[in-house]
Amino acid sequence: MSFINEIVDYRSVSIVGMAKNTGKTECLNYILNHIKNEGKLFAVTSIGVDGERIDRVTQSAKPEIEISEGMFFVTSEKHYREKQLTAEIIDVSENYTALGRLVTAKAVTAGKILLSGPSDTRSLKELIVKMKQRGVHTTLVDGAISRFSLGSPGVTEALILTTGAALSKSIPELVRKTKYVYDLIQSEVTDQKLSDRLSGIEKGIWAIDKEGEIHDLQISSVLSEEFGKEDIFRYGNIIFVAGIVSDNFLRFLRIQKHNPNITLIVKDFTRIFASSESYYAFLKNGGKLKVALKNKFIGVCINPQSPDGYQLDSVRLSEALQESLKIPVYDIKQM
Amino acid sequence: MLLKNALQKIEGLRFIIDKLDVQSGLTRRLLFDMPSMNQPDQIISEWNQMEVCRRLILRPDSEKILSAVRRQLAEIKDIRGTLERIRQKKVLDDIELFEIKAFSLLSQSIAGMMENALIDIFPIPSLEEVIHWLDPDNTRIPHFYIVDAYSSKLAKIRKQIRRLKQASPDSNQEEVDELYLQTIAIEDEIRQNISLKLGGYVTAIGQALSAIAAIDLSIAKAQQAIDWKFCKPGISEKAIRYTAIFNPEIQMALHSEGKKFQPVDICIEKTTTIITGANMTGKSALLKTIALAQTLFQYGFYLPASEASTICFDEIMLCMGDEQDTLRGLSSFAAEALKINDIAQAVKEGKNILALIDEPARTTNPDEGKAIVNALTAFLAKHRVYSLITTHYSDIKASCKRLRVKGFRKETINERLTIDSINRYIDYSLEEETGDEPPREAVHIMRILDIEPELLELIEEQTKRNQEKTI
Repeated sequence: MSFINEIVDYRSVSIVGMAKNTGKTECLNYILNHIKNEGKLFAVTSIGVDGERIDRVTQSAKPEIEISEGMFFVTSEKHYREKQLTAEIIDVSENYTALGRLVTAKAVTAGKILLSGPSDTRSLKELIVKMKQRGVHTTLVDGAISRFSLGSPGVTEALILTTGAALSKSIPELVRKTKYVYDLIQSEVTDQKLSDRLSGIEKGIWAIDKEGEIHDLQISSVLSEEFGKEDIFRYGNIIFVAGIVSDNFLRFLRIQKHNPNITLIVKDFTRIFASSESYYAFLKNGGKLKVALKNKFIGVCINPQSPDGYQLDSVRLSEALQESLKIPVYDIKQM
Repeated sequence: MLLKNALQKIEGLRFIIDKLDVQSGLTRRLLFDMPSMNQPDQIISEWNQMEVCRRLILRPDSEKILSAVRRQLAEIKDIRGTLERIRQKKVLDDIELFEIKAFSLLSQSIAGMMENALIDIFPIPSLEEVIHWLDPDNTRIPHFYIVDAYSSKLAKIRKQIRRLKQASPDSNQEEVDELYLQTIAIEDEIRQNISLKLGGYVTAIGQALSAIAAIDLSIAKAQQAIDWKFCKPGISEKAIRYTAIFNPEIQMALHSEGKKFQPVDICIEKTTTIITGANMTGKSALLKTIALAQTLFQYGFYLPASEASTICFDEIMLCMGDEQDTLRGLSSFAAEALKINDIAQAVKEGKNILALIDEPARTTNPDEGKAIVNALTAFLAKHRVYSLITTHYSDIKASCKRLRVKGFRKETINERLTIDSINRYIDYSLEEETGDEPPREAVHIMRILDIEPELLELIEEQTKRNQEKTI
C-alpha cells in the first residue's frame, strides 16, 4: 500500500487523531505490521499516556500495539513491566513521567505492548534525536487525544491524520472538520530565508515590510488588548505571529476594511487556535495564511465506527473525504 | 549543617555551587546533602582529591582524557534506590538489573581511565564479578534482558516458541501462550538468583558510586578553582588571614558593567575586630565575603583570594539584616537581638565559632545602641571569640582590634561623582584605626545620590549647627 512506502522516506512520523477513537492505534498497528519487512530499524513511542487496554474515556476496548522482532520501542516503566514480549533494555531515562521513567528497549520476540511516552513535545524531540543516534531509521509517534502540537513540524517531519465517526456522526460535518485541519496543514510555506529568520523569534507580533525587513510591533501576544490601539499595518500588510492565533485576532484582521489583502504568517499549523468559521471568513475577506514550517502530509485514515457502536458507511465516507481533500483516504479495517 | 541549608544562609554560595560544572545529577544531590566538615583532616582529604584533579587539568594532554571522563560521568545515574532494594533482599526487575549492569560497566570504564591517568586517590572497587552475573554473554554492552545464556531450558523453550510462530502464526496461539508463561517463570527464577548474588556486592557498588561522585565533584571544583583563580588555603591555629580576598558574584557583576572589584587584605585574630568606615565602602560586602570564604573552606573548596589561611570552626554564626525575620513577624531589632543571643550562648557552651555581626543595634536609639555594641565587643573580646563587627558608632571603648575602610580617596573627593562611577573613587582596603574621628561622609554620599535639594540644604545646616555645638 502506497503510504507505507512513504513512511520510510521520513525520520519521524506522527499519527494524529482528529478525536479520540478515530482509529489511531489501528492505524499504527497496520503500519507496524507492514513496515517490518522494509529491512530498516523502526522505533515507536507515544506522547503522553496511550495504548491502555481499556480506553479511560469511553471504557471501550482498545487494541494494544503489536511490535515485531527487532523493533525499538519507548514506553514508561509501568507499561514496560506489563509488556507481553521479551525485550532487551537499552536505556532508562533520568526524567520521570506520571508513569515512571521512560524505558527504551528492543523487542527480542514479537508481542504486544502498551505505549506511553514523553509528556511534552520538547522531550519527544530529544527522544527522536536519540533514536536517530541509535541508528533508528524512522520513529513513529502515536499521538494523544487532539494533541496536534506533536504533529508540529518542529517535532516530527511527517504526519498521518486519523478521523472518523468518533468525531462526528454526520458525514458532511466530519468532512468539514477534517478538511479544516487538512487545509491548515497544507498552508503555503514562506520562503526558506524568511522562515529561517522567523524560527528564531519566540514571542510577539511582527510586521514584514516590502524589503523583507522584520519589525517588532511591541505587542506581546494576540491575547493582549494592545493590538487594537496602534496601526499594526504601518509597515505593510504582512504580519507574523510568533505564538498562537485566536478567533479574536482573526476577527480583528477581518474588520480591517481598508486593508483586505493581509498575509498572516504563523510558525506552523498547530499555532492556529481558531474555529474553522473564523479562519474561512478571514480567507474570504482576501486574507492569506502562511506557515514558516510545513509538515509533510502522508495521508488520512478513517475509522467509520464510533465507540458507542455507530457505524458510518465506509465507502461513502471515503468518497466524500477524497472528493473534498483530493487525496487518497484509507479505511484500515477494510485493508 | 548540610550544604543545601548553607545555600539558604550564605549569600553568594549559590552562585558558586550553581556554576560548578558537575556532570551527573547524582553528584549534585550528594553535594547538596554534604555536611560541613569541622575536622582539618577531613578537609585536607577533600583538597588532596581536588589537587590531583587540578594537576590533571593543568597537564598539557589533559583535554582528551578529561572530555572522555566527563562524558562517562554524565552517564552515571542515581541507583541508590535500587541498591537499597538489593539490601532489603528484594527481587530486582529487568529495569533495576539494567541499572546495576550499566553502572558497573561505567564504573569499570571510569576506573580504567583513572588508572591510565595514574590517579589512584579515588578508591573504586572492581565490579567485574557484578558484570559477570549480568553479562553472561560477555558482550560488555550496557543492555539487559534475561538472555538465553542464563538457562539452556529457557533457550530451548524460546526456540520452540519461535518455531511455532513461524510455522503458523495464528493456529498455535494457545501453545505459544503456554510456553511464554513457562519462560516467564524461568526468568523470574533467574532474576531471584541474580538478586541474591548481587546482595554480596552491594557495599562495593555503593563505594564505587561514592568514589565516582567524588571524581565528578573534585574535577568540577578544581576546574572552578583554576578558572576563578581560587587558592588552596592553609589551615591555621591562630589567625584568619586573607590576601586579596574577593567576592566572585560581586566581582562578576561589576565586571559585566566594565568595573573592577578591589580585593581586600584582612587578618582576623582571636578577639573582636571592629570595622568602621563610611556608607557604601563595602563593610557588609566584606563580612559576607568572609562568611562565604569560611563556608567554602568548611565544605572542602579552595578560596576566593590570592592567599588564605584559616581556622576550622565548629560553626559560622552570622548576624546580618535578613528579610526572612521580618517575614516571621519579628521587628528587625528583635531578630537581631535573638541572633546575638544565639552567638552568646554558643560562646558560653564553649563552641569554637566565627561570629560575623553587621552593624548591630543600628535600628535602635544611638544611646542604647552604643552601649549594646560596647558590651557585645567586650563580651566577645573577653571570651576570645574570632569575631568581626561592623559599626558606625564612633566611640567603642571596649578593648579590641580596630580596622577602618579607607573610603573616599581624598584626591578625588571634590570631583563630580555619580552613583555609577562612585566605586572608582572609593578605596575599599582596610587600615588600622588611629583613634581620630571616623569619617563623616553620609551627607557627602547623599549629595552624590542627588537627594532633593531643599532637604539636603536642611541636612547640611543641621550638621553645621551640631558641629558648632560640639566645639
